[in-house]
Amino acid sequence: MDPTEPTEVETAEELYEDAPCGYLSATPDGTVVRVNGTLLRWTGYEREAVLGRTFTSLLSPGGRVYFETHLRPMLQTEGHVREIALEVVCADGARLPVLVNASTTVTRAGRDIVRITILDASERREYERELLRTRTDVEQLLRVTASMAASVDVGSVVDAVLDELAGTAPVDVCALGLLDRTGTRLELLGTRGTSAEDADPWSSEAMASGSAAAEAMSTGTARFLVPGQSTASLGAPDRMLALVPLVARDRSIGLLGVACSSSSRSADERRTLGAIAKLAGQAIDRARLADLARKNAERAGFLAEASREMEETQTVADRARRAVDLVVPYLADYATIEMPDRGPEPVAAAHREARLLQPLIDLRRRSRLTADTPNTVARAIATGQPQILSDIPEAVYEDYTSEPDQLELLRQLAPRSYVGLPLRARGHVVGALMLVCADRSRRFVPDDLPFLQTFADQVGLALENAQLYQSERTISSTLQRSMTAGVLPDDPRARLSVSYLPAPGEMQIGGDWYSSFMIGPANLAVVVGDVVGRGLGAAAAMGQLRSATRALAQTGMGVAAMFRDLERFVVEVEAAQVATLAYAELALDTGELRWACAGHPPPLLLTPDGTARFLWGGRSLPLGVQDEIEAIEREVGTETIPAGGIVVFYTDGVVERRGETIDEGLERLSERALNLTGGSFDSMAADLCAAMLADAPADDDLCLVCVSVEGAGSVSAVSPNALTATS
Amino acid sequence: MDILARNNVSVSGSPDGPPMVFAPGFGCDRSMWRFLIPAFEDKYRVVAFDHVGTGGSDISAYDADRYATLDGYADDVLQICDALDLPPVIFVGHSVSSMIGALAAIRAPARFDRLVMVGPSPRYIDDDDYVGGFSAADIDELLASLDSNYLGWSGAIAPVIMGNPDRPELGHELTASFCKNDPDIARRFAQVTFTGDNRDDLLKVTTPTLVLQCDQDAIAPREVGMYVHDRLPDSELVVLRATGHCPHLSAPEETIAAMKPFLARR
Repeated sequence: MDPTEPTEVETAEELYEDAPCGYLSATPDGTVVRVNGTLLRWTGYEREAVLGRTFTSLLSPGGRVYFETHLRPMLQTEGHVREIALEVVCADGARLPVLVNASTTVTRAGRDIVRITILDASERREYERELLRTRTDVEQLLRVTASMAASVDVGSVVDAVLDELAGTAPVDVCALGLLDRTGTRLELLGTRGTSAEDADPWSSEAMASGSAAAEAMSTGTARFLVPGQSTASLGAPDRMLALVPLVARDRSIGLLGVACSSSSRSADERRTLGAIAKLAGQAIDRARLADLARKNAERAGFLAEASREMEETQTVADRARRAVDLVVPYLADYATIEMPDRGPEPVAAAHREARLLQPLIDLRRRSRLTADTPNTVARAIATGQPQILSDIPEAVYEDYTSEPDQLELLRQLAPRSYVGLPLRARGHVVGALMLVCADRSRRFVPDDLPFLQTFADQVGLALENAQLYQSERTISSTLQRSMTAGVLPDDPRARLSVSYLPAPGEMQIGGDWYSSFMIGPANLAVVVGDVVGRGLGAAAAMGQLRSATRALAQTGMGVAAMFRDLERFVVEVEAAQVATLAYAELALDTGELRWACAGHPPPLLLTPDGTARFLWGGRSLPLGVQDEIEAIEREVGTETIPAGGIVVFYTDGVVERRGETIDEGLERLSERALNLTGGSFDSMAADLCAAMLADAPADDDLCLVCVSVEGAGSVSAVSPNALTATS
Repeated sequence: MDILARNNVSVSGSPDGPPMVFAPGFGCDRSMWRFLIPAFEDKYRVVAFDHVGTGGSDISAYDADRYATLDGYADDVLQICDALDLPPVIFVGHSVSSMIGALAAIRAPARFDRLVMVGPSPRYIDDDDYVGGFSAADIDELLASLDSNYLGWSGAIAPVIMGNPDRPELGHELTASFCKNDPDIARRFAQVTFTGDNRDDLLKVTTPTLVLQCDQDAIAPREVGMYVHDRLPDSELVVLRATGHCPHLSAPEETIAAMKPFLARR
């Protein structure tokens, strides 16, 4: 013993045996040759049980392999290893986490020896595991954040959250529900580890007042329930259930349910779950705003498109058909438009499944709904207010009908959600649009009504306009027919061939008209006119001009005087203030033609010897453009038409073509008219119209009157003229 | 692909001598041969390499599918022989590399002159009469401990375990040592190594083989060495006085002395 060392403090032996760490010496091959009391106390071994064994035999299998494959090579080449984490297997089989330092050294006796110190690392290991868990949690949060940032809609946010949770070890089942727009229902948006059916009771139970879930949502604080504490257990009653509210802008917007098998959740795990739920709430809120913006843009696009599509058609029936086709299946599974003024049948109906359309119409026919029946079409019409039924329980079908076949049909149609929208236009209701969803995945909620009613108002106006157009068109085309299809004079000295073609695709009829009548026994009057404007106003003006022309002309006042008096009349008739007119009087016995063209293209003369020329005389301004009525003395052209000659009167639609000069049109007219002189005169006007349209479609009305001068000699004889020959 | 860079291949010794290829076992890199190689460099062309995913190999070349079985590693050995255009080689494999060498020799016998197996085991798990040294539960626990990163396997956990913030060199020491490993690859390699069963393959090895078995080896017990020797059609067994699993580190002279007569015999 070293005399300088105060033996009364402690001996080297005590220092070794009772050191605050395990201490062990081994030969280079690992055989334990000495071990201290501390290690024996920790491990519960008798000293004899350890001496003579190899050090590695004290280790867990993993530690043994690690020691042999990694540590021993290092000890042999570098002489030491430090702070290696291993597990020692104690006498009772328990594992003691340790940190090991070892170094190879040469003893005073010259032997190689491996000295190994062993520190109890139980708490440290626990701390390390905690660190690892924290790191795992942080990584999880980072992953969730990243996948949510990449999610553009609510559905993908929900998927990101659930996928992440489902991929975490202790989580068995998880589900996410969001409050719907009414705030009274938790809509299940996704589940993992369980079916939507099994999770359904969970989402309904969550809304029960006083339930743990409702409490979690109302307080914005997560609840952690031990197995059996909750009646709705996400289909896993033996699991621990965490109910975490999803909070956005200080409001609970939904609930995350997580069932896991671990007996408890550490504070850290709870914090992590809370953090994930917080991220999810914010991400869902963001995605909802984005969804809303997208939806609004889509709806605006839909309304514009709907308006354009309905404008493309003209009749009430066509427009109603377009309207229902637009909403099915985009907004609803089936839709009908009913307009009581037009009879009890729906004006239009559409169903996602075509085979159900007719049964649907039949069902509507049989059901006698009145304004007193709640939420009906009749009520929407009576009140002018939209009617909504967000959820139609199947039980209600039996209230609707007791007939088995109707009931069966209703079940096939399976209405789940209903809206009746009044079709309003100019302050009154023209009908109703009924929309029904049969699909459980979508339903109408009161928030939808502003958009739906905007659409319905658009439909209402389009239908109302179609009705007005239709009635106006009926009136004006009747008027025009009466003007163009009147009885033509029947005199053997001059025959008439007439044709009128309205411009194609026009909602309203045009302003072209013609007329022909006798002035006394010897004179034939021919009028071809064009009133500026279209529709009912133009038709009225035509009627007035026609009557005025006839009344004035039949007094026998002559061409010039007729125009003078007509001019006075025209200024009184607002709608006819600008009109062109070709007016001619033909003396049937002499063939003398007197005419005037007020802003109208010149008549075309086809002579019996096969030439054609325009009668350029008698030209003046259109009616109604001169201020000084008194100053007017219109020029009158005269020409003697030989027997067999033909004069063609026409409106500008016959010769005008876009991108051409009028001369080209006139040239074409004379050429094509000459080509027809060998054919039937009765169809000549129609044939010529067709010929003029042969290479380009009409873009205006066409009106054409051909007068064939037969001469006085034809009164009692069949004309030998080729023009009159018919086949 | 540059095979030699991928496997961190080194070539030394006598350029015209017969080639020896040294393959490290599970755990460490080719520098574990440092005490053996000088003894052969005067006569042999000495080639050493690291398995992909260990040591100085190209970690980016690690392909979990390719290396899901030992065949992928055996393929690498043949590729190295091809790349260097080696005549039939003396293949020295430690531990799992003994089996990798055996598989390569079965596939291309002409490539191999001799095999030297240091601490080989065709199967680590006990099985009926077969003694592998580990129960199935032991291996499960080994793999689980790799998974949970409890042990010092992991470079990732090493700083936590070893690295007191004030002594960062400690963490550096293990991760920078020749036993450093990518933790994920080490786990997969351990899985392949410790769950494999190559007992039937031994019957197909026609190359003359030297089996070096340590007296006490916690990884490959003596029974395993005997079994390997019995199964190989043409083998010699030398039981070394050395203990442990790495006689080439703990008893290089004895190991060299055991190899030289076998290599000299023609």
